[in-house]
This record gives sequence, C-alpha cells and structure tokens, in this order.
Amino acid sequence: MRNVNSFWSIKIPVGVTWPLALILFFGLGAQALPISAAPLDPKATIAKAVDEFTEILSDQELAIPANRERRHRLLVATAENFFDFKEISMRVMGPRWRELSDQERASFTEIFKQFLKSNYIARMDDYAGEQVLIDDQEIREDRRGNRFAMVKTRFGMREREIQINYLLLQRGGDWLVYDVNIEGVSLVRNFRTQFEPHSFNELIRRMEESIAAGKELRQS
Amino acid sequence: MSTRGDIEKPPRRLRVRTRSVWLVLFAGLICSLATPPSFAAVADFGVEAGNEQGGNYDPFGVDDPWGYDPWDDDPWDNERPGLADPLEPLNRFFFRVNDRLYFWILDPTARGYAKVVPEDIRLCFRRFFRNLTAPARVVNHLLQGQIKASGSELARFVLNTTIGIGGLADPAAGSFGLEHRSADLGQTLGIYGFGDGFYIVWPLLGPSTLRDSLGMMGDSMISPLRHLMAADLRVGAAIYVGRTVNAESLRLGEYEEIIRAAVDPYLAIRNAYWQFRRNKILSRSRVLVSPTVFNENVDFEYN
Repeated sequence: MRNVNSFWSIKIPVGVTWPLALILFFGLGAQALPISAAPLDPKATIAKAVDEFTEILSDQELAIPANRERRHRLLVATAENFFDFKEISMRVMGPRWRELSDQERASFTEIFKQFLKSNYIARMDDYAGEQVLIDDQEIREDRRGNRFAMVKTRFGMREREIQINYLLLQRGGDWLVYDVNIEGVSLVRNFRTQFEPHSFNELIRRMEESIAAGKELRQS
Repeated sequence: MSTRGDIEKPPRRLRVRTRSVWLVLFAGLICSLATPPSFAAVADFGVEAGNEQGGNYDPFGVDDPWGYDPWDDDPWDNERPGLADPLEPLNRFFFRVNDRLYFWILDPTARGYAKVVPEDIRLCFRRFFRNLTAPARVVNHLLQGQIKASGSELARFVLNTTIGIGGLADPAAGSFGLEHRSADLGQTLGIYGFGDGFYIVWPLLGPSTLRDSLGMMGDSMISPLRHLMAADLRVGAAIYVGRTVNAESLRLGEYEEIIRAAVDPYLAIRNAYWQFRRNKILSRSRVLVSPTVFNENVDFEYN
C-alpha cells in the first residue's frame, strides 16, 4: 500500500508537469515568438505612443533650444506612426470627401497634417513631466465589422486631471488613432464643424495662412 | 486497516482529478495549437474574432456603403452638432468683443498678476472661490439623484470652510478623500431632458446656451457671492474680477492656443462648448437611475 501511495505521489506531478511542459512549449512558447511581432492591442499602442513621446520630451539634450527643430522632427515622425491622417482628413471633410478628386484628397491630407503639426507640436514643448495614466480600452464593431477602440487616459496636471480618450481604428491588424477626445470634446469633430461652412479652396487658403503664421512665430 | 483505508482514499479522488486535469490541459493544448496567434490575441479583446476587413476599411470606397456622413456609423457617438444658433450675427459680435477684451485687458492683467503672486497662493485663491460655489453643487447633486455626491460636497463645504480656513486649503480632499465633483443647474436641467435651446455669447461671461443661462441664474441664487453683491455691489464686483483674473492666471495661453489652432475661432468655441456640456450631461445621465423610492422591489438605500 505504501507503494501505491508513493506511486501516486510521484505520478501526479509527472502527469501534470508533462502536459504543462507541452503547453508551455507549444502553446505559450510557440505563441510568444509571433506575439512579440504581432500587432499591439489598442491600449498597448497608446502606451507605446506615450512612452515614445515622453522619451523624446524628457531627453535633456533635445531640450536645448538649438535642438528644437530636431526634437520637433522626431515628435512629428512619432505622430505619423500612430495617427491615421487620411482617416482624420476624411472625417474632417465629411460627405464632401466624396466629391474631391484623388489629387485634392491627397493635397488636403498633406496640408491638414502640416496644419495640425504647426499648431500642436510646438505645444508639446510645454510638457513638464506630467503623469499620463492609461486606464482601460473598449472595443466595438460597427455593422460592417470594422473594429474601433477607445482608450481612456488621464493627464495629471497640478490639482487638475484631464480626461483624454483616444479613438482608434484597426487597419490590417494595426491600431491607428483617428480622433482625440479631451474632456468630452472631440478634436476631429470640432474641426469638422469649423470646416463645414467653408469651401475647399477657402479651407486650403486658411490652413496655409495659419501654417505660415506658425513658422513666423517660431522664427521670431 | 483503517489507516490504510484513509491512505487509499485520496489516490482515488486524485485519479479523477488528474484525469480531469489532463483533459483540461489537453483541450488547452489543442486549442493553443489550433489557434493562430493573431486570433488568440484578438480574442482577448472581448470581440468575436474572424473579421478580416480591418485592412479593407474605406467608408468612401468604390461601393460607398456608408451613411451620408462618416460619423453616422461611429460606434461611440453618431450625434451631429445640434446646437441652434439663430442669434449668430449678434453672437459673433459679442464673441469679437470678448476676444478683444481678453487680449487687451484680461490676459495682460492675469500675466502681471501671475508674475507677482506665486502659483501656490493662486491655487489657494482658486480653492477659496470654488468653495464659495459649493452650496450650488450640494443642491444640484441632490437634484441629479446623486445623494452620496451631494453629502460629500456638503461635507467638503463644512470641512474646508472651517479647518480649511474659508476654503483656502482643501483638507477635505487631502485628509478625508472627499474629491471635488462639479455640478451645476444647467447640467441638472439637461439630465432632466431640457434641450440646449440655442447658443448665446454673453458679453464678459462668454459662451452659454439658453438652458445653461437659466441654470447660471438659478445657481447664482444660492451663491454667497450674489448675496455679497446685493449687500455691497463694489465688494461683490471686486470679488468677481478677482476670481476671473485668478482663474485666468492659472490657464495662461490656453485661449490663445485654441484660437490659433482654429480655422474659424467662433465655430471652434461654439462646438467645443456644445460638446463639453453635452458630455457633462451624458456622463451623468447614464449614472442617474429612476428614483428608487418608486421601485417596489428595491429597498431604498440611505446613502
């Protein structure tokens, strides 16, 4: 009887460890490799973006005024990895997008991107090590099966916390930001409302004017 | 023998357990082998997998299957701005007046003030002015059915007015964990189902709607500031100016940034105001449940 007991006491661990080892090897092990290369989920995408931005912004050498241009270039390059400017342009133009030729769409996207850069990148220079907390993500599908995500974050300022939600959509596995919602105010919707009453050419003119003014401001 | 029996028993139970452990692990193994990694990663999101359309997403593509507007299908919010603006010419005029007043008077004053008074003291003043409007928040939380928040705001008012030296400090948040939570009558009315009415730009006070203007009037009824103003207009006005300048000194440059980043500043502010207020109402409406008192199945909670 002692044998039986010892038999079990050995058998059980062996019986469990083998499948466990197999699971670890084939299951997790085999998955771990492609997962590291696989697209990130929305929350991880935002976390990565925040990390990349804060890394550039907290770099002491880049903070020197002489390196300002380089710092801005790096920030823009990072933004391009995480934002979907074509989608943003489309949503800003609304139904009018249909009437635009491919060339007009391309030039609008490019100018709007420049416009956003000239207005928002310089603002990042004000960053003073504020905490960014990433809360949770929610994923929804529209009736066509396209997948959209909302990642909630909090930007901690002094005695004040700002709720910033990032809206992302999935394109071929990757998640890209198509809107930023600050305290309930969607930036892309806000631009949409501003753009509505103006003609295409008028919009291009106003944006080019603003970009030029921004450049002047930076040089002075 | 009895001890032997005791020894024999666990193995039998364990045998069953090991078998089920085996089964579960085996099933897990099969699953983990059969599932492509990307699928498994997607399944974690809580959405059914199997959608491969992510890459073909193009609402304005060849077959254009979308509604009129790309936002109509947005799964988060398909509302289009519904704020009427029949007074637009007048509103645009007052918007320009306020804009000038900001750049000519308020901004330089606030900048000068910020240079003289350290930030910590300005934060104290902000707390003080915020404490003055606490009674309105107590009432509005109550009207919104948020009894707990109402009680918390009342406790904050009592604690901060006494221990916090008239509200200059915020021991209620620091030591008692009672955080400030905004509430106003315009929001309460919105939760009750009142529409925005239409957009109004007040001289000096700035953007508002018909509903929010009524709310502002209601809130001011129970504001200590109003009673001060009624008693001595000059003291009241001085406090009002002080509050405005102090608040502005803590957000220097924000208005400039909004205006600079706008293609049409008037519309930018109007829409931002509308979205901001709408969010304030919607975020509370979901929390507001029908009064529990009328629900026979649920015990009324005294919280």
